[in-house]
Amino acid sequence: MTHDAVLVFSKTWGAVYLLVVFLAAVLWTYWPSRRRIYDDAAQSPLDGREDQPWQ
Amino acid sequence: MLRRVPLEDTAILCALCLVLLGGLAILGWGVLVPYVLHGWLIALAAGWGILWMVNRLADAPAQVPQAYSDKVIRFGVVAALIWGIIGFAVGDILAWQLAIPALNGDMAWTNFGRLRPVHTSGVIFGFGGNALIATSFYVVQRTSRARLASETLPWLVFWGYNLFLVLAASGYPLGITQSKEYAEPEWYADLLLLVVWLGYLALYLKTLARRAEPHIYVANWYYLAFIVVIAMLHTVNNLSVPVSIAYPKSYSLFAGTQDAMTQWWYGHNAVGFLLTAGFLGMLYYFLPKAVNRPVYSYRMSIVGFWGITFLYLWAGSHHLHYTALPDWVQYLGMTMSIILLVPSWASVFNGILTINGAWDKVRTDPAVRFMMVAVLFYGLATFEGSFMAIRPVNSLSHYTDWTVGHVHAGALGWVAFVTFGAMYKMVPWVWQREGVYSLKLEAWHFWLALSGTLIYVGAMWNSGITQSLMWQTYDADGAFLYSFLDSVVEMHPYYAARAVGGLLYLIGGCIGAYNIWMTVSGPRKTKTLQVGPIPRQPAE
Amino acid sequence: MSTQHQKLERNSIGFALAILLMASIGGIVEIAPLFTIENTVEEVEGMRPYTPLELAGRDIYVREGCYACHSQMIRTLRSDVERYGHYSLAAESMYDHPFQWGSKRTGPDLARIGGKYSDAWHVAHLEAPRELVEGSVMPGYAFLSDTRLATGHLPAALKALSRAGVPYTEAQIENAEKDAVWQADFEQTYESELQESYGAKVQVRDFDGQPGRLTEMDALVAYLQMLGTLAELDTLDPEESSR
Repeated sequence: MTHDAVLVFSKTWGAVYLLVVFLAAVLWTYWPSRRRIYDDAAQSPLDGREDQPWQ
Repeated sequence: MLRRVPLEDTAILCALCLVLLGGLAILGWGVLVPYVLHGWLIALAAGWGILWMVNRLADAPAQVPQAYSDKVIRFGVVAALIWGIIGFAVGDILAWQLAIPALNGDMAWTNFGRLRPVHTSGVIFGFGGNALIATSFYVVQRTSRARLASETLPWLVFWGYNLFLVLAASGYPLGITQSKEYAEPEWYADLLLLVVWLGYLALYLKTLARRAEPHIYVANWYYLAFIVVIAMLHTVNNLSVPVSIAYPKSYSLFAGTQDAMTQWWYGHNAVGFLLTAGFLGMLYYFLPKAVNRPVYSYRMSIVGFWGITFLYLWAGSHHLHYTALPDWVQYLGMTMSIILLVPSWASVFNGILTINGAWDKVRTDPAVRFMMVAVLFYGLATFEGSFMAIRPVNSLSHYTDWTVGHVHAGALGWVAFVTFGAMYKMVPWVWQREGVYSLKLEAWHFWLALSGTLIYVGAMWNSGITQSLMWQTYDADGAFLYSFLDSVVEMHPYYAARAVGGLLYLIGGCIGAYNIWMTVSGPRKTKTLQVGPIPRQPAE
Repeated sequence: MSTQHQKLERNSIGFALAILLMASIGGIVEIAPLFTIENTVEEVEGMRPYTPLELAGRDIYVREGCYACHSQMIRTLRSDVERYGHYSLAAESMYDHPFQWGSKRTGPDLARIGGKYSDAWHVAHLEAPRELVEGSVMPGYAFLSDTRLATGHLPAALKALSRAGVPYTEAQIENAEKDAVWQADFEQTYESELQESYGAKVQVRDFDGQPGRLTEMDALVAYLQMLGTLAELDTLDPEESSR
């Protein structure tokens, strides 16, 4: 493995990889049908249910 | 279910026996007094733990109450405050030593070099670590609506972790260190911490598994990243070859360039996952609770989470610009450090916008004010960090006090502010008190801490840039205009100012500890509305 | 209920593994190649493992936390090179377990301090810094001159280092204690033996100004006096060092 080969690899496939991972994370999070999960989660510390364990 | 309990206890007993054997080996074979004392300490602690476990197993296990385990959290709060005061005080002593060098005392155990890790470990691992353990126990139980998944592990985690801290902080003044910054404890303390940390991870995962709903609240994501990544960093960076069981000394497995990269991969991510991710977890729970508003954008906090988890680990090499580390790693570290600003500032905006709509609380509730200023300092420190990772900027800032100022903007302004804010909220909750003993003292703490931080950071910016410019100034003939010593002498007023800033911060911390102490020793919260005379309220 | 619970449990473990996976990529990409790419550490004439006395001195340097204020890394910047000498090469710390590049210069860089001052200067300066350098903020280390150097652990220390990859020979490990005493011998009786074992640049003399006494000061000064003196920088291939 030479220095130049690593460089070329990282500048091409590395960049593509970063972009794909970023897009995957954003799509997964912002997918419309998942909206309710997150809205519920955001409210969960405030809805007063956490005063006692559930089981 | 019944089959699984003995399994856990067996594992804990095995771990305790291993620790006991380790302690016995050290006190048996060790030849240096401090090292032998450490052996005794480890053996006694493990022996005590074994007796406690056996005792619990012998007695029929009591019914696990259907309530949260809060006692261990209270211990964690107290430990964090004690280590905080020790860490702040030693830090300020060090600051005065640089201003007035005679204060070193010129004795081995009082000199700057040996005391400095007492300060860094005391504040990062003692104050920060205990605060994270305590708040993570609080948050994971509330957001999962489940009691901690073990009756014994929380205590072993707490005491084991604090035993590690005692070994660390008592070892440095006696000359026991492996000199890797923020990873100074020697191999035997590192092994102990590894055992404790795996227990912490197991406990956290088991408690999450008991949660009421499928979704895991985002604060736990950050706490979990803190636990998982610190386990990885700690293990890899502390790989070393001990001289023998008779000596505390070890030599790191890697040398030179590889060791430097491993160390700063560790060092930068101790910042990233202990001082950032862990405390973001704290922020994402206690800030919404304090202002009674949900996180502004929950989904942003999740994207930010993956950004931080992925990107931080690449950034360590910016500590090694222009060194013998290959250039490709330096440039990669710089690039990732700049990109890292995006998820960092996503958290900043998310924090500020969560407060939006409850600005009156910033004025009336010092705990909210602590957390708001913490977010601002987090924004400042992350911007500054990305900026300093740029190579030409780094050629100015590196090796100077600017770095020290940057670290303290983050540590004093962000980490400690969010911790104090969270503690002022959590202490009345876990001790079931009406509220904090004195809002006035809380405000005093806030203003002392803020002015101390500003003086500290301002002094270090000035001294850092002055140093750097003096090191790089040439006269008309191309010769250096200043000797190195000139730059040292020039630092004196800044070092004195820094020591004063630190003193203000320490006084604030002591007031905070007093306030929390008075809160704890005050009357319990009344459960139901009482008929008759109004109960005495804590003075406010 | 219990199947749902098993699912939740698997969930949180899987989540922890996902975090570990995401977080480990950066380190793997940046650290692993440092061990495999050949020109990470260039080849330089003259590098050799530390002698037992130098190693003992280095251990004292580590123990006292000198790295908190002194770097051992001359960067490629003009202001570094002109003040401290040729920039540091990766090979110059190839036997440093752990590295001592440092992160702060409250005091000056020490990567090439060797030979710049006399032994007597180092001893006097370490004992009372401000008597030689007015305005210095360095602590005093007079206790090093009063502390007998412990040598009992040196064979085990060399053995541990050889396990970590430092090429000490069996003979060097076996003679470590004796070699440490010999190197600080004021009569320099065994200079040729030491130079045969560790190379021509080994400095053999009494370092602390207390002939006949082997102190921690001997070891620390012996270490300081060899810092940066080993690598033959003029034999360096400019192509190799221009990464």
